[in-house]
Amino acid sequence: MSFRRVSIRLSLLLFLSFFCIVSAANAQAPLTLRVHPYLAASELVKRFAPLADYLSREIGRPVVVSISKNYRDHIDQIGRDKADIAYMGPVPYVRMVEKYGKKPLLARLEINGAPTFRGVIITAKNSSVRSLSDLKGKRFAFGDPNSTMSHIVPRFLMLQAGVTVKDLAGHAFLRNHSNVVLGVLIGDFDAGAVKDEVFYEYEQRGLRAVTWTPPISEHLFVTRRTLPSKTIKALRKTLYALEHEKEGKAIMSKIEKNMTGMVPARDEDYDNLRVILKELKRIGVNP
Amino acid sequence: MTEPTPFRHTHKRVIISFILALLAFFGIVVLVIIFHERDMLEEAYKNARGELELMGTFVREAILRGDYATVEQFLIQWGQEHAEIIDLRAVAPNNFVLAHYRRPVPAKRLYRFEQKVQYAGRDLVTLQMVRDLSSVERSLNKFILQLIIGSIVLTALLGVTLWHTLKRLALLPMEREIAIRREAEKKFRTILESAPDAMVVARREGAIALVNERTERLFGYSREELQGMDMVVLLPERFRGILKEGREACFFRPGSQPPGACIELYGLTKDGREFPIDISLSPIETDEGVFTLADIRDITERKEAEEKIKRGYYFQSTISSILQISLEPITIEEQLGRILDVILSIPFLSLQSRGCIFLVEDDPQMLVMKVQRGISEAMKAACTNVPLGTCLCGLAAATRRIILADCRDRQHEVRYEGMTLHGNYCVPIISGEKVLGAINLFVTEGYIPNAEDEELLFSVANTLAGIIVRRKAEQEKQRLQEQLIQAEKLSALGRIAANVAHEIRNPLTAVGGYARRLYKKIPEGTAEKEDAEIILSQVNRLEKILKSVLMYSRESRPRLELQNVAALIDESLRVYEATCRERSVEITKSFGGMPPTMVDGDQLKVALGNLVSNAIDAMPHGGTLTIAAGREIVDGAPYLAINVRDTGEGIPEEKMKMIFEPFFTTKVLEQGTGLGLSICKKIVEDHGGFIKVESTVGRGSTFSLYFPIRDKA
Repeated sequence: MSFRRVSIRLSLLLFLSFFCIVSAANAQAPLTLRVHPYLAASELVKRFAPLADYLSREIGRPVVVSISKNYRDHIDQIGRDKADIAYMGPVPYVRMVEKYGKKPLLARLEINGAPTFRGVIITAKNSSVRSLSDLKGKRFAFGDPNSTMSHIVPRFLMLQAGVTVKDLAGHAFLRNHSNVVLGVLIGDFDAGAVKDEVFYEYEQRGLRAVTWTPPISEHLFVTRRTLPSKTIKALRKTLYALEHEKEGKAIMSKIEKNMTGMVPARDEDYDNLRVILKELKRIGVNP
Repeated sequence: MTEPTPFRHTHKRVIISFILALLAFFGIVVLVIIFHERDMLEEAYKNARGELELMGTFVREAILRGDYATVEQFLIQWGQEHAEIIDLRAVAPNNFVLAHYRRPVPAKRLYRFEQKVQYAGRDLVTLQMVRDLSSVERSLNKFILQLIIGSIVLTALLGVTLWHTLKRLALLPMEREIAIRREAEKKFRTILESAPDAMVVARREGAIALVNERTERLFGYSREELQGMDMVVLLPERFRGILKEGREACFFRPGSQPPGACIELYGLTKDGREFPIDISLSPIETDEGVFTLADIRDITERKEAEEKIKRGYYFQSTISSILQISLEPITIEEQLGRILDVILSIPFLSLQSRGCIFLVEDDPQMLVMKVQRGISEAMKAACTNVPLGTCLCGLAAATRRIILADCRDRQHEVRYEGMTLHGNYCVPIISGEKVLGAINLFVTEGYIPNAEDEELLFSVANTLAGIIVRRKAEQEKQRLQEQLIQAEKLSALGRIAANVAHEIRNPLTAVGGYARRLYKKIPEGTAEKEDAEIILSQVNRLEKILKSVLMYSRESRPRLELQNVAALIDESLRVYEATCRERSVEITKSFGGMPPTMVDGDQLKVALGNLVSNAIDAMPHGGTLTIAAGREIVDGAPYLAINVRDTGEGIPEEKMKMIFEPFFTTKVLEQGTGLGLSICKKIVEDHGGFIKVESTVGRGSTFSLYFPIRDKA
């Protein structure tokens, strides 16, 4: 159904652009907004369509949402400049740059007023775990292996503290942050790793933070190198202006619940993550 | 038959049992529905538990997978999708609430369910669910309502169908039967009610079941009172045994049975009055058993009629006996005696065979006992003469009505020593206004007076009166005939006497004239002179006699004029005043109210003069001469009565009859003509009046002149 709606929208856009061609004579092919499949495709289309609509309206060019087949494909498509606009997590971005080189950055997300986010090692409020070294012999819950804050960064912190997965009584990848939090709360795991946002959400139900990770830059929008710089500028301007738009809040909360705006992004903002990934790769952990 | 509407009851019973059966059917249906409902509710619980089980399976897998967040999503989604779930939560063994869904609605009918999710003996989580089954209940209730309405309709339909069937197959024929029976009953009642006799339907043991209106009237009980009473209450105590026997007999020998056929039966009313009855008993068979139908007839009237006939017979025979006796040529006393015997022998009068008959004779104010039967000597002596108005007999005669005094009546006057208490009838014998006498009859003790007896006695008295009147009339006729003969004799004598007197007068006048002439010529003191003197006196006497004779014999009519009688009396007396003084006779006058009366004044003076002269002559040694005059009623007619009473020697009874005869005199020959009283009588009778005399030897006599007071015409 969502597809149908999309196609209806697309046809509507085509129809409108046809008029534009006739009237304004600046008729151009639609831009694609590529999103990695971290949720069901239909859900993702639902979440990003308002943004796409906003963009196309603002830059006078149709923007359509497109969902990548998987993370690898997403990286490849972006790396080969196949995506006009792409939404990326920090880890895939670092990997993509490592493999295909830099791309023009449009903006990064600002969550609760900060363009960075942190991960946290959590445990139950009444747990005996006080520091990372206490994790030895405990059951530990990770989220997705590719997840920045539920696996990669915390794993790095644990390694730094001298705790390997072999030191644990057991560990499991619970696919998402919520599962980690709930697994700890329910008592199936003694500790786990989640991003700050999720921690805050569940803190009151009986969580305690053991250690915080350093701040990592948020998700970001990149574009292809081949896109005219005029368009890139227009896109950047439009995205930065989103938080001031009347419908901006609605559009943003669709993408990320606590999103408060879009701010400029530089490649250096992701260097600390790049270091962590390199370090992990060095010791054979290559998520 | 005994109960007013027994069939209605049966009908009602049928309807009631029918309705009860329907209700029972309905109740069973409702019970089944309710049990089914409960089963269905149970089913709902089971479903809920199954649901929880299902959730448990999912939750178990999710938890084992480590997919905790899905549990929450799943539960929330599940909760949202199931409207009856109010609260749904997954609680970990450490009491952490893994997921919690809550529907913000007011609690209604809440049911808690709980399910432990385990894996390999380990408690993973406990699912707790609160369901609001009110919607289930509501829908069940709705369903129940529909079912119940349906069953009501079904019951009603079934009822109507069954009822119609029942009616057609059983009730209608029954109703027809009932109608026929009711009609029959109605007829029976109508016949019963219209019966002229009292009809009493009683059970075998005697309890009254049904009576008709005539019974109520006859015995004074109301229908309701009689209902259930024993029939014997309708008869006096002494007949109850007979009735019971009769009733039993009636059952064994069916057919109308009069109990006590030879006995005169009596009925007893509520107020204790007895009256003659006839009863016939007959058994009647009904559905409710055998009843006795008693037909009670009030035969009072028949009895009375019989009595009347009997009385009539006695009455007739009595009267005819009396009349027969009256025709027999015997004296009145004998007749009365036999009549009294006849009266005393009337059987139903309850007489003691004692009695007497009084007659009024010369004194109209006095009853004289003429005949008697069985009267004591003392009473005979006391009651020979009873004045009118005295004692019961006198009172009866005076008031002209029958007096009945029973033995203890205070009306009795003690008239004689040793008078015993007695009850008697005193019946006046009256003819027109005139009291002729009285019949006195002794009644037995305890006699109850009745109109018929009085009537009979009255008739007897009337018959007697007729006889007496006839007797008296006969006597009167005889007397008148004698008088007529006498008068004719006298008349002839008078005429002779008048002729003689007339013939003698002239020679006597001549004798007188010459004698006086001689007397004048004869010198005094000679014997001749004395002889002449005798001649003269004798001539004078003769002249006087002649004058009287002529006066007596002269056919003269009185010249009636209105006169002041008192003045006339005074005038008459004046002549005799000197004589009275000489004879030391005192004159007393007593005049009552006297109206001017039509009389011949001269004749009155002559008559009065004669009476006064006679009176003075009757008192040669002095005495009192009383002249009384006044108005008096005799036999209903007004008279002017002048009584001249002397206190002389009186008239002996043997002379009494002769005193009014002409030429009868008690006086020495020289002194009277013997015509004085005859003249008086003649004068009074010429006026249409009469003369009366009462005399007692040695006491004196009273002569009374009665002049009728006439109107001026």
